[in-house]
Amino acid sequence: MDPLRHFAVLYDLALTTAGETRAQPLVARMLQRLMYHTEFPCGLFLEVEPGSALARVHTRLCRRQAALVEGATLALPEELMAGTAALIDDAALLKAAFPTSEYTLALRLPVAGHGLFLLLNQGTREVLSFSPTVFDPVLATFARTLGLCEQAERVQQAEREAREAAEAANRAKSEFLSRMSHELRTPLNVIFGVSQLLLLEGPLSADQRRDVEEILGAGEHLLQLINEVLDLSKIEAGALSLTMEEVSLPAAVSDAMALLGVMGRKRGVTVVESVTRGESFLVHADRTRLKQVLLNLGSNAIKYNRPEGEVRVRAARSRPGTVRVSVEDTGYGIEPEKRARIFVPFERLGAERSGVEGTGIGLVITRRLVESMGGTIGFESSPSGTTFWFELEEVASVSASPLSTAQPASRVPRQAGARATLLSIEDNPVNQRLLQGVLERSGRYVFIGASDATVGVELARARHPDVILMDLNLPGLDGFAARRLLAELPETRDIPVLAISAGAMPGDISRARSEGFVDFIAKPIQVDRLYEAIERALQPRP
Amino acid sequence: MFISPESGPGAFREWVRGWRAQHQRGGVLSLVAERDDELIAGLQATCREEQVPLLGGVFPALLLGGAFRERGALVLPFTQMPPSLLVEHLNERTPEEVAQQVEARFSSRPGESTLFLMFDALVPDIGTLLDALFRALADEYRYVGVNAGSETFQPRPCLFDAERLVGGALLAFELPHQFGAVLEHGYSVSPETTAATATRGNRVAQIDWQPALEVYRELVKRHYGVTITRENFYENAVHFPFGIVRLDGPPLVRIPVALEPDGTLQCVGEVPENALLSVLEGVKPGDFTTVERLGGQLAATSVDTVLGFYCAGRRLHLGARAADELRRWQEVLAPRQLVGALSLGEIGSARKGGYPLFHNATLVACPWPT
Repeated sequence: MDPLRHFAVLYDLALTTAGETRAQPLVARMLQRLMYHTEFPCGLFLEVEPGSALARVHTRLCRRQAALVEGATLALPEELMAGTAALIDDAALLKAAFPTSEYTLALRLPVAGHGLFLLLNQGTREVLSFSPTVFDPVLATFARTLGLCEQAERVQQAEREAREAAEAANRAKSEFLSRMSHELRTPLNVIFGVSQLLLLEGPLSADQRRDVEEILGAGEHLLQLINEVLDLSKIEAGALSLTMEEVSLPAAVSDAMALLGVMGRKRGVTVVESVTRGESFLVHADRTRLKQVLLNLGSNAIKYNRPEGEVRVRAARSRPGTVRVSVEDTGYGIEPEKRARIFVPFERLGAERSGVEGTGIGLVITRRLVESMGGTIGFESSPSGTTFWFELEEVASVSASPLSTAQPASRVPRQAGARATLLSIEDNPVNQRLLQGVLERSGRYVFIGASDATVGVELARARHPDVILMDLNLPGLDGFAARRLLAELPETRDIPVLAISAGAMPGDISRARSEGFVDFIAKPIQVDRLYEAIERALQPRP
Repeated sequence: MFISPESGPGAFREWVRGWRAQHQRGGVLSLVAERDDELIAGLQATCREEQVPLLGGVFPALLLGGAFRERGALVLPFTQMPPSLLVEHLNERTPEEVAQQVEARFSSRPGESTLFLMFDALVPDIGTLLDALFRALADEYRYVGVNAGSETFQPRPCLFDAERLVGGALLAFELPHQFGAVLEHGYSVSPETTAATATRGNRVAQIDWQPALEVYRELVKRHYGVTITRENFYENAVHFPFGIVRLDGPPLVRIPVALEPDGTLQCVGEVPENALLSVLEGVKPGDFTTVERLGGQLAATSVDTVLGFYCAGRRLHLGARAADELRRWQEVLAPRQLVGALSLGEIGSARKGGYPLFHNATLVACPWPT
């Protein structure tokens, strides 16, 4: 054979398989190309165990009647499998090897470390005009390429399995957290609800009122503990999800100040805000979690303060592109030997003997939240007080987005002084009684109740309430499906619907918003929060 | 049977009734000259009325009696109608989808069978389709086939059954207990080979990293002493086609039929990138070695009829002397009757049971089962 032609064909074979990174297609392409050049009509790639007489059919291109299926194990004569590239024209040998076929000629092309190509024909030796060893150079390269492909696939497979295992573990953790959140909050809702109902409805003696307030206080503490433990679990499990957006720090501080002010007044501590005026201080953060950080730090500053003390919340630019929020208290400071443990979970640094309530994980969560939002946190302390601070990267944005709240659908405004009609769809009779008591007690609402979604939708169509309170976990038609149904009906599509659920995971909340609920109320229901949400929903949309 | 344009529909009807009376499960294959394609409607109507299965194609001319016939239609009977498949809209399917459809339709019978493939010549990726078919069926069948259509290479419906006349399609049918076809072109290979370094489908843009026309021109001049220019390209290129060289076997002919402004050459049939090319010289007029070799390969067959196809590109190369070669072909095959058509590409293997390859300038002969 013309050496140049020989070399050029080998070049063609090498280029045929170039760029292929997967083992199976690489072998298949090479096999087909070999058959194209040699016109041997049956081709196999066999994987051979060293020292074994067994071969596994890796790839086949041959008639269906040959009964040579991929994955099959064949016991082939050693004279056929072992050795260098060769043309074998022993018809009896081939008949013994492939009893269901009529092949009389075999071209063996070994691939070092992997197996061999075996091309079969019904002709005689004269059909081949070249020596089988002409393929040796390209087969050597092919062997190396095949090895690299198989190695890459093993690595990818291991990565895939590790990823799937991690995802499965995360899913399990998330499901557990979601379940625990629901299971813990549901009975707490009853404790809260009934306690609040007792306080609202009365009449209670002074002792009874005190007892009920104790129950409520313990419930609040238990709720805080549950929230913090679940938060920490989420963070530890890597299941914390943040909704990052541009947030105005002054607005977030103002928001937190409303609650901190109330807390401070109860304890005789003055809480003041000191934010540089005229600055938007936009940061990239999760709005809800940022408020949680502010409340954590602020509540600590109040709790661990002196009588008649002060808490000052500042926000200022610490350096170009970075905003620092400081929460200063006029407390007794943190002793130097305890400062290293300030962020250790469940570490209360002796405060458990002080009578001050706490769980010991608030600061751990606070730090994790700040760091998850890309920020840093620290503190300075002296006997005259402690300052906790955190820094976040400032967003350079010309369009400071105002805090957005869900707006209810546009409706005809009620006449001034008229009571709003609220429809509550709730299957739990205790929860339903609670809601009715809370809402009617306010004197501002007319209450309609339905115990399942089907009845609720019909009541909505008939009575046209101003707002619908929808429990998401209803039997049969659930809250989401009922919401979709209401949205399809012309007479109900504009009624704002508030979601109420004991499942208060971020996923639940975001799903509720994305499915058209104007707000989300987590159980156990806090009355003030409920009133705020209802009043917001009642506002006519411009 | 030959149907002339002057024949009325009655002659065919009478023939088909007679045939059907003797062969209840028979059918017919028809090859129709493109000038008389209006005969197709009559064939279809008659076959529908008589409930006789019909398959067929349109070709530039027919082969009959050792001569080219520009008019009429040929009808070849099947004693038992074989499985067949007409796949339309090839441009809307992947090669794997077409191969799966063919594989599902045909299940080989015991003994050797041949799969006859008739493509519309304007299907651009016949080579790729054949690769996919081979992956699906491998050596389950012997492969033979031709391209149908118009010698003008203008789109037209050219494949039909009793219900449809379509273009852009594949007509496949099985010839059971049939050893396949023989195929030859007899073109000679120059000793020099080069690589088609940039191609797309049937377009060769670069050879050895240079504009294809420049290299082609150099090779033809060097080996055959002919100067190819843009002005004489269409007149001369048909005599000096490319040959795709394989490790074994004769080269696959690729006739350049069009020249683009940047020197890209368009051929009949795909040219794979990095294919090894040689420039061939067409057979010399009066050299009957090819047909004599073909005849020798069929010497042992005992059929009365041989279905043959003669490439239109080969006729273009030989000009008026093509008729001499055809006449000699019939002489070699006598007393068997050579019937067939002028084709626009041929499919087959250089050896029995080999890889289905797409050819140009080739003669294909297939014993017709009786």
